This record gives sequence, C-alpha cells and structure tokens, in this order.
Amino acid sequence: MRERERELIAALAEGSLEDETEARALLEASPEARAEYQLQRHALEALSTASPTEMTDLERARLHGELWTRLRAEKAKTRSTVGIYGWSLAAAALFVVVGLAAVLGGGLLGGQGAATDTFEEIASGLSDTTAAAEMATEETQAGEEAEAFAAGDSESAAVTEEAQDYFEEEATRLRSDESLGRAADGGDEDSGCLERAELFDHEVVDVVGEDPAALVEGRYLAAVPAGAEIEPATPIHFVDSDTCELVYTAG
Amino acid sequence: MITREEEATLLARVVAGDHDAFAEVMRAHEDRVFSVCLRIVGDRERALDVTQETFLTVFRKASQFQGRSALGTWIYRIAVNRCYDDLRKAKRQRSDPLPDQSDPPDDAALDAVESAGLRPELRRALAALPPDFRAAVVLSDVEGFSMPEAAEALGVPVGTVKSRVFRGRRLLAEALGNQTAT
Repeated sequence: MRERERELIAALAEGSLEDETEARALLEASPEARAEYQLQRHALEALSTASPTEMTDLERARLHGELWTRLRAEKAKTRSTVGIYGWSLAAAALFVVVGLAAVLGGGLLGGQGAATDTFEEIASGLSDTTAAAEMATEETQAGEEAEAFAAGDSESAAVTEEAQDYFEEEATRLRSDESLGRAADGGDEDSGCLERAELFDHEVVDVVGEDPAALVEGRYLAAVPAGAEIEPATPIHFVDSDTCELVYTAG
Repeated sequence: MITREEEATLLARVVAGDHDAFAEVMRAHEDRVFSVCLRIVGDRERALDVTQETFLTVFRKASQFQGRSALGTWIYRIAVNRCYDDLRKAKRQRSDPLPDQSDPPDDAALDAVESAGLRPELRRALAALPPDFRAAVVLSDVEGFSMPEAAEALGVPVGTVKSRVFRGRRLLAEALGNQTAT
C-alpha cells in the first residue's frame, strides 16, 4: 500500500478529511484498504475510551517535595560540605512534611493551586522557617542557597572541563576504532535530532554517555559528516539526545 | 498564549536562579507531562518518577534551550526520552531471573493497570507495542498532539510519526482483536 493511500485511510478513520470522496473510492476499490480502515477505526475507538489522568494532590506534593530535595542535594554535593548537606536534608524533610500537611490539611479544597502554591511558598520562604534560620548560622545562608542552588553558574551554562575531557577521550576512541559501524544507533530518531542541531548531512556513529559510570550524565550522539572516514582531523560532534543541542565538537 | 520570546525569557530566569520561574514552568507543564508519561510507562508510581526525572533534566539543561522549538515541545521531548529510559530499565529488570516468579498478577498490579486511565485490555495492548510506536500513538491519539508537535517531541520527521501512528494503530487493533477472540 502506498504512503498516499495510508494517509488517506488514516485521515478518513480520524474524520479529518474535508472531502472524503477519494478515500471512499479507495475503500470501495480495495479490500486491503477496507481491512486497514477497519483496523484504524478499531484502534481509534478503543483509544477514545481512555479517561483523563491527573495527579492527586498527594502525588503533586510528593513530586514537588522530592524534586526540591534532589535539587538541593545536588547543590550541596557540589559544594562538598557535609554540614550544609545535613541541614539541606533537614530542611528538605521539613519541606516535604510542611508540603504534605498544607495539601492534606487545608490545600485539598484549593486543588492544584494549593499544591503548587505550597511549592512556591516553601521554595521562596525557606528563610522564614526555623530550620532556615538555624541554617543561616552555618557557613552559607539558607536564603542564598535557596536562590543560588538553581543558579546558572558556570557548570550548568557550559560544558565542564570534566565533560570536555570525556568527549575528547570518546573522540580518540572513535578515531582509533576500525570496526566502528556507521549510523550505529537510533536510525530515524537520531537523524532527526542531528537536523535539529543543524548538523545536516551528518550521521550518528556512536552513542555515548549511557554508561552509569560515565563522567557525563545523559545520552549523546557522536556524529560525523555522512560517509566521511573518521580520520585524526575529522571533527566529531556530540549532540545531547534529550535537547538535540550540539554540546561539544572534538577536533 | 505565551510567545517564544516569553518562553526564552522564562528559561533564562530559571538559569539565573529564579525559583518562581521554575515553579511557573512546572505548573504550566507538569500535568500533561505526567499524563504522557503515565500512558507510555503504564504505571502511576513510575510515571511520577519519570515526571520528576523530566523536570530535573529540564532544570539541569535549561541553559541549553535556545527557543528553536516551543518550550512545551522541548519538555515533552525530554519526557519521552525519560520514558524510554524507564522502559529499558524495566525490561532489564524483567529479564533478570527472579525466584518464585510463577505467581499470577496481584491486586496491586491490577490497580496499577486501572490507575493508568485505560481499560485493562487496552492497557495490555498498548504495553505490547514497541516503545516508539507506543509513544507516537499516545502523543497523537490519546494526548491530542498534532503531527508536527508529535514529530518535534519525538525528534523524528513528520512522515515517520505518521507511519508509526498508522502501524501502531494496526498493531493495537490486532492485539485487541486477539484478546477478544481468546
């Protein structure tokens, strides 16, 4: 079945055609098309029974509480200060408790707004809590930490030296790997990602970073000009597969 | 309707440390992200974890957003990737040999099925689809993404999305038909 015919059948099944004449004629003429149309309709009818899904207030509070906890813990780990980490855990635990209490005790009637207000209140009002006041006596002010933990400092705004070293090592490995396959992974998915990174006429030769022991987080597509031999001078581009942004070019 | 410039400004505020801006980003997108994740991974607990991972990634990579796509589309792309990670992890865990694995599904598992907002037979049929077909069908036919929106979220050309949706629906219908017959 040709692509045009598939598109017609799909659109007819969806009810999105302004003029169904051509599609109806296709069904009339082709048993295969009729059978395909029935399958498309069957699937769409089944999927239309899906009921809306929403987070409960408890789930929302948990999402916000745990997210905040992890963000603070990351920042505390970056600073490598045990004392602050300990207070961060205490403050984060307080955050979760207060968040749940607010949602369960008075926020339920307010629905979503209450749950997210809690997130904002605690995110911005840490300096008003007892724990935060105590934290203020520590080496770093709690209020500054609450603002600064999200800061676009040099580490988040650019590739770190550690990451650069990692990408350079991967590039060296790729250049010396004679058995390397072309378009090693992903196919359509990753080629679309390369295009969004404005690497046209490039192909993926490897995917790096998936190893939990890797120095960088995330999954990166290693790309070179399509069909090119990977030689010492060949630039190798590393594209973040989440955001499809070019993060580093080696060579 | 928020403009692309306003979205870029919002992300810039996130990068600059404005927690109110991050809360605003979450508030605007967390429900739909959760819904997408729930339909793809099929379990509320895991969907919540994946939603959390999604926004963690959004936060960490906010500086990389350049406004070439809508902010929501960028976020859903991250969400779909996190869903794929979760499915790969779940598959690895299932393939590990476990003792006493002969018990039938318990009530908790059935609750998880019902809590995904899908009839049990539909949920089973959807879970049987290859992940990339499942994601395409969920985005297009359950979450109402247009084909260009789904294509951006999945990081593939529009033609590829259309093909996946078409083939995914066919597989789904065949699986549902088989379930009815048995």
